[in-house]
Amino acid sequence: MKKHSPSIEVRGLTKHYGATVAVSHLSFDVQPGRVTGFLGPNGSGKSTTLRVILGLDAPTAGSALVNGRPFSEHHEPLFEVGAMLDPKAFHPGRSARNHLTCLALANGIERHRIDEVLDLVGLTSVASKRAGSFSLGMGQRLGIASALLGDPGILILDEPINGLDPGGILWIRNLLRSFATEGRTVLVSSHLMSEMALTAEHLIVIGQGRLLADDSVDNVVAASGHNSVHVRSPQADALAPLLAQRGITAISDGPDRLVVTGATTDQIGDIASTSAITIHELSLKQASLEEAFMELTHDSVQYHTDNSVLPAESAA
Amino acid sequence: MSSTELVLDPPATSDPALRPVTAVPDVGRADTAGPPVAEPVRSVFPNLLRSEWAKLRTVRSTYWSLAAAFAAMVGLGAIISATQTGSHTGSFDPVSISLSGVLLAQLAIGVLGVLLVTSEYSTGMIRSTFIAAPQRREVIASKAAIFGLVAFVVGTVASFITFFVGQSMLGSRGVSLGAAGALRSVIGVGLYLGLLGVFAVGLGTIIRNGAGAIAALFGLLLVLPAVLQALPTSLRDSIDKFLPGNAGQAIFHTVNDTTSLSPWLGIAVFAIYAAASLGIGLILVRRRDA
Repeated sequence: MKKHSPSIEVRGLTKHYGATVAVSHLSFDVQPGRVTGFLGPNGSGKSTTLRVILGLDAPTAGSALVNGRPFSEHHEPLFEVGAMLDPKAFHPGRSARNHLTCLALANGIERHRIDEVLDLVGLTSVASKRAGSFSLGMGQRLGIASALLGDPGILILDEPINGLDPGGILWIRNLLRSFATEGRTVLVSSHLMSEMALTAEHLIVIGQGRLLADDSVDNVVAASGHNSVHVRSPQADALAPLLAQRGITAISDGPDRLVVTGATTDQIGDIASTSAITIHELSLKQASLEEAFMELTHDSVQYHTDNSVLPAESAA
Repeated sequence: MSSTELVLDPPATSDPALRPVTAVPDVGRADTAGPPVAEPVRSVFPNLLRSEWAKLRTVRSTYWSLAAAFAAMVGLGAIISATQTGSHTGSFDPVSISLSGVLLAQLAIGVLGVLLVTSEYSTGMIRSTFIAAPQRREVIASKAAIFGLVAFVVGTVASFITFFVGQSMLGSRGVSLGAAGALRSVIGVGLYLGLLGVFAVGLGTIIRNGAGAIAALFGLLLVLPAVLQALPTSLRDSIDKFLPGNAGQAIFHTVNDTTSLSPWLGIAVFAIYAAASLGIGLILVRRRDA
């Protein structure tokens, strides 16, 4: 059931709330068969984008298509798209089973499927309890259960990790992966790079409502300027100007040490050898995903706490 | 505003959408990953009506509010009938007296109708609802239809009971269901409450905030008539009868009163209010972000 066309197509999406620009000229595709991480600092427009994709908010300009059509034109959308935007999107007085029943009936979904999804998310034993008594983690599970009701080909989850214990996190990671392996489309938002590194294969990174990156996890890391080469040489003072002549940044990192960005180990080694400079160490230091994320979003973090604090950490 | 103009469902024929609740065929997983195929176009109403009926049945506030409306109607009707000291003069209206509990019951029905919508907004349920059913107008229309019907049925049953209880309390001054205008009044109470339910669902959809919508409802039903008392009599009498509550309540007055509309004209005016409230709600629910 591999598809050739993208399941979700966002084109020139712009959304203003009054004078606030939440999303600006955002375009991307979400492909089936892999987990796509939708990353950005808090307030970067992730939730707004998901709300427009799901037809809850009307775009100011641009469009978002799901399986080739605007979401609002789907007649029984639960069979195509399962979504959880908010772990508390239920009436607290209704039991988990009744909540799912109300949604299932709206799409003519068979009743036995309700018990199946309750079992799948591990809420069978509390299915008759008022959902208002649920913990955040149980609310997440109920939200995911409602997303799975129609056994959809597309799954959209906004910050599904929030409030889950380690066991729950592992469970959802496996769920998302197996979904993608079956050829379905998974779009999952997060402000936690580290989590996405473990779950997603592809990343869409936004900051202040603009697209910053749309690439594989590996490429996002590789493209980061934080990839640097550490050089140890007794002639470091002589090497630095040689690199600078070629437009390569070299910063002194203590006696005999340089941190070089914008060049490969091969290039640095060649430059050194032509000038007969002795090299004792030449090592590539790859940026972590967290650093790559910082790099991408540094200028677009809406709520600066302290420049030295990663947005992911400050918000977690 | 929205680029996602919704094509409304064509008239439902005897299509597969009208399937029974217990046996729902063809809901196995469709090949959702296939290229977009033209869906067999059919009405979303059967599913949405069932969903809204389930929503109404599965929260406690429904039972509390309906029980309160029932108790207010029968209890207050009995008390007022038992304490009546008037006698058969020109303005004595035994039918209307026995039904006076509706003035209290209407508040319970109205509040419940408002909350059916506003509680979805306050809890976040509305997003789950619209993700399952993006046809927002049809969702609200289904809610109004289900609740209007329930309010009509509960109101009519309570009205019959309170009529017989009240007439027995009135003793020799009581009348039978065969009296002029009696049956029309008793069923009229149900009609009034049913339309009030639709009116309240519309109001909740327009205002979305529970406290605000309840305040607006009470303002229209209770405060506005009181405020009009400040106007000169001639002006007040010509406006007063067109207020929503006064117009609708004309359906259960059997004694002709020059200050109110005739019963059927009154309920028709009230129906226009209900339709306007729902209509504005349907327009706004499409336009606004959820």
